[in-house]
Amino acid sequence: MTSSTRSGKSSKSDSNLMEMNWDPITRIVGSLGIYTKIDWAAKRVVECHSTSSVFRGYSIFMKGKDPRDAHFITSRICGICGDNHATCSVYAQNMAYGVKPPNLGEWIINLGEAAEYMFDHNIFQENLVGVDYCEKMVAETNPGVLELARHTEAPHAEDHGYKTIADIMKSLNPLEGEFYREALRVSRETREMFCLMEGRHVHPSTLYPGGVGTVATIQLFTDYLTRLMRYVEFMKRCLPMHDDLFDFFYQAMPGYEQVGQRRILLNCWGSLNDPEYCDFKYENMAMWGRKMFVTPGIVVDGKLVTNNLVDINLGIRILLGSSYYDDWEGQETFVSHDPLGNPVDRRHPWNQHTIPRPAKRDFDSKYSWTMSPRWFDGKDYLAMDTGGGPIARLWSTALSGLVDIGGYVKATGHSVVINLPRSATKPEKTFEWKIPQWSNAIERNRARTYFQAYCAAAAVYFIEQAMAEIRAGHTKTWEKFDVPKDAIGCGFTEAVRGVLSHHMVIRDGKIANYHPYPPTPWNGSVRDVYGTPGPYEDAVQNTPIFEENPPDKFKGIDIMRAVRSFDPCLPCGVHMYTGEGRTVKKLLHTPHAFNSGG
Amino acid sequence: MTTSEWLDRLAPKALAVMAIGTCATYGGIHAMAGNPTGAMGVPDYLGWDWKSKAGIPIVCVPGCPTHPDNLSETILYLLYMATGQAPMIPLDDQLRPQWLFGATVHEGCDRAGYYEQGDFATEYGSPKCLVKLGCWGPVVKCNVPKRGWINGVGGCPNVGGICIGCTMPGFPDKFMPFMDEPPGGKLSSAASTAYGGFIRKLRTITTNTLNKEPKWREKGRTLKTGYKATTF
Repeated sequence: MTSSTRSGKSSKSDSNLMEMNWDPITRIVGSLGIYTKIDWAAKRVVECHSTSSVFRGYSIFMKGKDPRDAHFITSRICGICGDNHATCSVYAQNMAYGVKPPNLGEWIINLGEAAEYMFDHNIFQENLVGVDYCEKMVAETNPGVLELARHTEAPHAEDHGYKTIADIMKSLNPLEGEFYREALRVSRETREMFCLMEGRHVHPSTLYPGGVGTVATIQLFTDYLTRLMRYVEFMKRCLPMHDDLFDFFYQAMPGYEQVGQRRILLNCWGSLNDPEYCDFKYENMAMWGRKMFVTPGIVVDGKLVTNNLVDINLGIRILLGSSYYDDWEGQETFVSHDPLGNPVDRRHPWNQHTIPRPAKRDFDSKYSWTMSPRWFDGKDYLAMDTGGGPIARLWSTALSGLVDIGGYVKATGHSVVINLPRSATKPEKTFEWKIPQWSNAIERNRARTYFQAYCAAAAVYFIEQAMAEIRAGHTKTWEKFDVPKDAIGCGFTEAVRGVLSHHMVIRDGKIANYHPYPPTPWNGSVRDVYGTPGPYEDAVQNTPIFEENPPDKFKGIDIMRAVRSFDPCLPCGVHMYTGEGRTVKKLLHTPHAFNSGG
Repeated sequence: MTTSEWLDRLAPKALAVMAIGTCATYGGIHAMAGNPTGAMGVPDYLGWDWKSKAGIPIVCVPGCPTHPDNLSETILYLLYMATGQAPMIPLDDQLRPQWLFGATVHEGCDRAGYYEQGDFATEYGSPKCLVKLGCWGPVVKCNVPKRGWINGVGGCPNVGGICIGCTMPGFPDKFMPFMDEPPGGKLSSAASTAYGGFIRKLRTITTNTLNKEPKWREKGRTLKTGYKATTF
């Protein structure tokens, strides 16, 4: 993942203008570009455009296909969170077919999805994001900060074993660092946990509308539980270590809270259904949405606007403005009213038409293949972000105060308490995620580690429930269904990096319309028809520059931290212009951005 | 820049060209009927007879997603080749490494025994053969049930997921709708039901015999072992 690619040295020039290409900045794949203008006198990013260069047309080629193929197809949207798509599609299909899977099938999906969060957040945090905070990186961008780290004792040294903050940074050095390597091992085990439940990562083989094909035996759950308890043990070190590291950045660089900060506009669609309540009927969606083990919610300026999935659903709007698509005004409306009789907007995903219109990139006009999903609160079209997933999930769950997962996880209204049970060498341990002051890069990252612990604790509960079903002789994991001639369905869950919805319309037994909305179109969305910029754009736009390097050695670490705190999935080619835009410097970038060829 | 432009620039200089995943090898999901982009696999773009300057054909490691160990193993093979430690990579007519894609899913599936005995699952979640639920395993070239998905854990039909043929050049169009029984499989599974049902009955008799301890192990004071003293 961090194999070195070509790297080149910069060429000297006396001008103050510069362009840099990161390829790939994301350390995963690359089709997103961030174009910024930096004011060097004020040390601040003054303008930012994000752009996506990839189009595949799922909504187009799914038309006319058998609806039961939807989760197999949509899983392939993403090579990182394909299973979240498959899960979401299965939810939407369950609603359309009117089928409720046996409880055991739902526990198995929850265990699979919990493993996915544990896997993905771990590898992303330690092996991808961690590199931005490791010793090698900080040495190159902020030597003064590293010096301070060497003399700063880690407050939780007893929990994680690293004496100073610099020791933590060293342990995160790519390929060499101790914690970096341990995290790679952990990612294998969590992936095994996932595969026990869903067959294959990242395109599951055992998920179906109506339940799962996984053979539910005592052995299945034992194999999962033994691995899970090792993860529980790991989190008891991992979490205090990250608290120490992230707290240090605030301390070392006063004002660092402004990096990647944007208005608190967080959305969460809820995740991990409670089979006791979830019947997948639209009419009951508000009720079973509130029973999810991660509570859905719209959080604006720190306040909960709604946790009602029906309201959330009806408020979704897909705007154009800077995207390479034609408007669908005048096209057919598929769903004029939802099953409760509420009117459904023309710009809602159920009624969306995808009409591509490729064009040359022009930042004053059209510049991206992403559209601009917004949430309409009755007055404004809000450019919500997921904050990379965990921060929105924790914030929404904390504010609603509804979640109580068998005592392992409890939402309090202002925090989330996570109780990790006793493990091989460590006693029971309680952590509390408290609602932070800001929605910024550091807090997005901190929330990620806390959400890993959240999932581990929740998974312990899911295992208990699944085992109870088996012991009671309820081994059925799948329920029969028929595909109706005409139906609609919607699915809501959380992809690892945030909100995920699938909207489907069936006519004559075939897919007539299908629109998935994963987190990236929200986070990486572009200036809409009203001129409102997308979340990456306005988060980067206000970011101050703390990097100690002058323009000719500039790495853009603060900008990278801002973008990566959201989502590493798209950020790729990043071009920076300092001043009026004449290119004076071009350097090829390695995935980890170190100067020395390694 | 488009991916085909990257290929135009890089392929002529490459020691070897490897296509990874079914999209890259044969087009896959994004090249399905009705797609608006004209997406295609590398051999369709460069030509199936294309060879690198080192004389190596395009190497295809299909799978959606590709099996991680199949991928790294093929890279490793090419590195051995590059350093003169291995002969030309053995590929089949669809440019796949023969040792990975020579056998069918069915040949490596631990549920094939159910098929042989004509014992088929009618619902998901059953441990029996999935052919009647839509599994294409008997005719799909792939080693996943044999290898598992990661460290031997997971897979497809071996753990309850129908094989949808994701390693095949005909994927996905020729396999959809995925959840219906493959039309060509009806005859063979009917034959297997007749023949296998009979075999299963015979085996049940034998199993019942073998499932009991030898008769000399029994409760009581006398200790018997089946030993017979031979006298001459």
